[in-house]
Amino acid sequence: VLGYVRFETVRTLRNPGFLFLVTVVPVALYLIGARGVDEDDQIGGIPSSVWYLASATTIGAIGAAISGSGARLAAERASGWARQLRVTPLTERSWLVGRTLASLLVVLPVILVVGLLAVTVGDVRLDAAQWMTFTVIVVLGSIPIALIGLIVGLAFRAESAQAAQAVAFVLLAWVVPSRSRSSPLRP
Amino acid sequence: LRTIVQVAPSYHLTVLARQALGADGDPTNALIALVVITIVIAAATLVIYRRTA
Repeated sequence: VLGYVRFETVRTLRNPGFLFLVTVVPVALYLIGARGVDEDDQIGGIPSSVWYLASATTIGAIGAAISGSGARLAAERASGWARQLRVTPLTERSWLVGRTLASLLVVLPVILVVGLLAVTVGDVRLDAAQWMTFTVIVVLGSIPIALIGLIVGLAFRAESAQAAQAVAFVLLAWVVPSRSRSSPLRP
Repeated sequence: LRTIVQVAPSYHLTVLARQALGADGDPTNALIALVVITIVIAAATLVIYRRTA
């Protein structure tokens, strides 16, 4: 499993453009949401800037986890790479674990970039334990979303997987509890 | 709509993330829901993987 995870991880890191793109949406959401909020303004018992940190990061994690697996897997199936993998000693469960871990790797830059933005622009101050808990929850909580991305990659052909992935992202982001339901994507 | 929200992992993920940063509420239900949803989706993924072999 570790060899397969390493292989997938290196493949993802070789595409810095993709890593940049998955951080654009949460960065934009944070900047739009936290813009001009009052320091004393609170939502759900926490300062607004902290609320928007959690919201923008989770929406970014949803997009990253889905796009880290879905369309690429469909393209691999089309190219025959997935079939090649099946004739290796890699078991089904090892494949699942390896693909999921590799998809989760893409979530880390989102947490890092939005976190840096929250500290520098939003003046968010959290202790180390809170940062650690938040990071662990967002990464582990993204597992089912990465799995949905894998299902999209397995169920759709390469041509339609990209669109299916976008639909899945919009649906998952739409149900995220927001401060105002007027806009489903509002963090 | 309520059912859709309850089976959506993104809903529970967001609730847990906010509570990790100090938001009001009990994280137990969201945590249990997320674990159950993960197990079900993982099983479904394996089934689909076998069928696409």
